[in-house]
Amino acid sequence: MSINEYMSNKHRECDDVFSQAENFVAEDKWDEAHKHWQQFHGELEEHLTMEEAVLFPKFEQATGMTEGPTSVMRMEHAQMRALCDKLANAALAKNKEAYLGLSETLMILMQQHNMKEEQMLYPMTDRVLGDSGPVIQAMENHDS
Amino acid sequence: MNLDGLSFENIPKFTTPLRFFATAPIFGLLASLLLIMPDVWLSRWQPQFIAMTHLFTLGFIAMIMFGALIQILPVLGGVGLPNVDKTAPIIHALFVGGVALFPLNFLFPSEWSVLASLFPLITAIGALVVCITWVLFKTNKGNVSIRAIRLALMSLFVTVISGVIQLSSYYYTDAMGLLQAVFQGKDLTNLHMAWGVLGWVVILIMGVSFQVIPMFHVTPDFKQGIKQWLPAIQFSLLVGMTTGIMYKLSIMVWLSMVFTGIVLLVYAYSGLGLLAHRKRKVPDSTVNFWKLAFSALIISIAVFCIASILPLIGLGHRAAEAQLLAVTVFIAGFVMSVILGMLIKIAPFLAYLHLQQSAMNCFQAMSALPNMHELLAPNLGKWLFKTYTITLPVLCIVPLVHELSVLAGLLLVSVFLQLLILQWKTWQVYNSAQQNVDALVEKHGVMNFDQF
Repeated sequence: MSINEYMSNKHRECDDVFSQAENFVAEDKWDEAHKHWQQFHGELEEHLTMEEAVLFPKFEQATGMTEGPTSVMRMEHAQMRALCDKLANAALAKNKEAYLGLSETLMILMQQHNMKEEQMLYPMTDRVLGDSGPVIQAMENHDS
Repeated sequence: MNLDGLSFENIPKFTTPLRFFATAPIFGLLASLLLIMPDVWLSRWQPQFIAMTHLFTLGFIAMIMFGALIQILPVLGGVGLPNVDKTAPIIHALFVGGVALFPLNFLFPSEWSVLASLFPLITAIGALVVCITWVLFKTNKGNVSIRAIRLALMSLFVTVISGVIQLSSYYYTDAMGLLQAVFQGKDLTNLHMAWGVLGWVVILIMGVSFQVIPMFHVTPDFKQGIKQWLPAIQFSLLVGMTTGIMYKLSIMVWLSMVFTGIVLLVYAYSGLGLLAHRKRKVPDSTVNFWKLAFSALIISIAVFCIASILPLIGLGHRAAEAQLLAVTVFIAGFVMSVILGMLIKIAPFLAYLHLQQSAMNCFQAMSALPNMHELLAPNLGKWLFKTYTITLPVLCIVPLVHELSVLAGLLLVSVFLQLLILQWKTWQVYNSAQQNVDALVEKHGVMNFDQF
């Protein structure tokens, strides 16, 4: 499995849980919404950390580009985290209107970010790093 | 591989695509007013009808598509138009001038109106095609959307050339004589329309939808075979249709049309299938517009089939009306719905994207950003959809019941006014948020994003 396939699958898994949480909020089922929101938040944080702690440094090491694409991706991660904080507050306050407005924003931001990674950064990472096995292993180990 | 697209510097300023999106409804309004004129629907060769269709296809549809292309290219392919914030406004100004003068060719035709309208129009489209072709050469070649955009641009080129030839041939009769040897009667007009609608518009919508439907609505992806082949097959069928017409091979023309119908049905069916499997269940007017668009596409093909059968059952005198109905359902039902749906998503998204960029690295400013629903209240999108679902059937009946054209025109006026108001509101929220963000950044300064 390439890094692109592995990471793209992770993106889809996050999207699924995110949508479930949002669907429960829309139906005013806050208990289920909380459960799924927390699951999503955890998975997203894990994914972002995997990239920042393992994937990006390996990419930067192999290409020598430390101020390039990975720096933009890190900034976007920070933006997603800021939005997640606001979403967590909206979920706690059971504020449906605020939650749905913020979740629409985060969804669009995430998808745009994912598209850049899946179409540009990951394929390039696959190319410069060659064998994807050890990198995926390192990310999974970091994960646990 | 080019990684410039990951950087925000390549994304045009908010005002760059917005000037295209904001002027388009004004031409939509003008086209709607022409629709109210008496006798406009008597024949598709009426000057008012041709003026109206060009105000709509150039002023509304093409205007939006150019704005969207300028915005989407750096995101999809990693490369933006050269010096986009300076070149795009010039292209826009020329295009607006050309489109505004273009109806004169039909309402008050003269050699001067041809020159006055074609010069800015061709310069604008030519400059855009050259710039985008340059971008497409430098860009990520494997992307299915980029490949579709290439084919759409080639189709636009054929559309423009065939249109210019027709318009010029009224005044330069030598050219007309030469053309008559190749094309008969209205063949060239039909090809102009086919390349414009089935090539430029449909292939571009296909390419963009492959990307945005799964992305914005969290649906499964289009099947690889569809993404890979459908735009190319559609383009080849147009080549087949053109060859058939040029060499008077009616079976080739007929087969190309049948297969075009099949390609469009496959596209509409897969689009509806994806939307039925979308994981996000929250109400979304853009999704409703997509569903309406795909359903209208299927209906328009059915009406076109009926129009083709009418002469065989002794109702040939109604075939022209039925064809006009099929084209109306196609343009108003499919194309227009896609555009309306995309606009209500893209305007607040771009506003957010730019605000977010200004707030970058300032936690207080990031926290103060308006969300998507604050930038465009979902109710405004819902109202637009509701109005359009009333407008569309009235508009589609007009080719058969001409008396309804005033009502259809007025309903369309309300749709375009809503579109203007909606964008104006987003612009207002954006402006006040921008001032707020600037003040917060100045007050608190920026911090390292690693500290979040």
